[in-house]
Amino acid sequence: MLKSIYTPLSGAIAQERVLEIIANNLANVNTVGFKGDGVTFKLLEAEPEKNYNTPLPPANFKISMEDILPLRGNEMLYVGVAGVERDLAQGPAIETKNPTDFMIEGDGMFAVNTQEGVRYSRSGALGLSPDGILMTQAGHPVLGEKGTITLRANAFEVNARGEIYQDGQLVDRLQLHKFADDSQLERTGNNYFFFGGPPEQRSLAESPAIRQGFLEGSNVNAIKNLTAMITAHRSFEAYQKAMSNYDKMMDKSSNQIGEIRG
Amino acid sequence: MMRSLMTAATGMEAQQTNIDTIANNLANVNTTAFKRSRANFHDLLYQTVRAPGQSSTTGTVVPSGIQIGAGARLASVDKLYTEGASKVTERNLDFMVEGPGFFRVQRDDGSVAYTRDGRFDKDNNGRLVTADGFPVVPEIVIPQGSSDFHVGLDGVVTVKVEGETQEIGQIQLAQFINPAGLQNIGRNLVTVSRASGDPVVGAPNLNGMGRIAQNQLESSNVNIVEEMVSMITGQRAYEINSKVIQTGDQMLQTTNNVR
Repeated sequence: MLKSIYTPLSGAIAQERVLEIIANNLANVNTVGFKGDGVTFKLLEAEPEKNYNTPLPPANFKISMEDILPLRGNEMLYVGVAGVERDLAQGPAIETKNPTDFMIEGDGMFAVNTQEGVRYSRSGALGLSPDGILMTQAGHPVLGEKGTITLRANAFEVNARGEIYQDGQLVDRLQLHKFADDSQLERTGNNYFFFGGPPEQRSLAESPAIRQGFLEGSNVNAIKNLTAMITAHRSFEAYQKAMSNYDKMMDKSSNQIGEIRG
Repeated sequence: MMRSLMTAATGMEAQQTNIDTIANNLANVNTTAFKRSRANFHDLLYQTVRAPGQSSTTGTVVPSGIQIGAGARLASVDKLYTEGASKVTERNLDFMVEGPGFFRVQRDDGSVAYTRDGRFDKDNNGRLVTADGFPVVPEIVIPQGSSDFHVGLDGVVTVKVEGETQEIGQIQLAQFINPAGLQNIGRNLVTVSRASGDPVVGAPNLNGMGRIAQNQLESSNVNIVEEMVSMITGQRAYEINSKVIQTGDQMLQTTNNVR
């Protein structure tokens, strides 16, 4: 059997993953505060088998074999998804004039108190509960420096520092968190992130810039994603071609070599 | 592979609701005191293939995990209670609330509904009623043969009977802590829901209730240009998700053609 057929197979599977990530990005092209994903690949080395000697190239051969094929003996190489990288770039500003809409300019995330603990979000499409508590669209209270924020009516102002004023009086200040290592943020749906890193890597943003009456649009770039989708599609096709060629080779070796002709 | 097909389908579904909402906003561009709606979306659950911060071998931490999302979903469609522009009508039974208050009217079943639509009429008993005949609460009866019907900023209604100014009542307004949570029942009416909170009833021009402006109506707060732009982005987002389905389908076809 030609084991090499598994190499293009690993590539095809990796491209499938890419399409899944792109599908999720594009499904959220209009989701407020959404941050898109990108994919990185890596070579996966299988356990090396017993080393066979690579046939030496002729003396006048300029390029060493290792430049062309980083394989010695019968080692197999596979490709796999190394990681999904979040693009935390700023999304476009959308003016809504709605007093419970907020946009964060620059770093920082809102803190949201859920049943499972504190989650972080870039989505500032908030609302008030019947008791006047400022909450997200999923119904979880947003945290201020004094805890849950309770407002009396819909008329309130929030300045760039995140300070909430009602009737000219300071009610609370929105908590905005910064993370030393963004890669520790895990998505949990509902536009929320969970921070799994050590607490000392998380800090309150000192000089946040919050804009009331604005929302941050999704940062998914449709053109970039469509181009990536075409690339994924064609790579997938190429891997399939390679697999089909390996199939033909196996067909030859099993059916034509040693064929008795009359 | 099937997953990307389903993911793109959730995106298409979300955009369809988005366009439905925009269609309703545009249909009501001339509806008195209409408040536009907005569809809000969330991302769906993620399949965590490898959590961020996990160790690949002892002592090494992978820099980024692998989380694959399952698409988008509709989180809410909420009404945006920004004030519409005022339209001077010179009709003395037209009122506009300048501020967050709602008029209170009584429905057929005796329950109270709320409206921002201040276009009122007189019924055969002289009562102040909405275009659908629902009387204002508390009732205001305009006496026969009166003239100079006038409503002050504070909602006090006065008329002239035989040359003498007479006070015949005061319009009361209601305010909600979360007007976006009110239940829409059509006919420009809303009712209390668990999300809106209880109404705070009071006289106009006090406690931030808003003033009453006679001879004016509040126009719809739908902005056509804004809706058109949303419609374009919504349609393109729909299209782009259909392209993902197409690509997924073609990739499946390629697989089927391998042998």
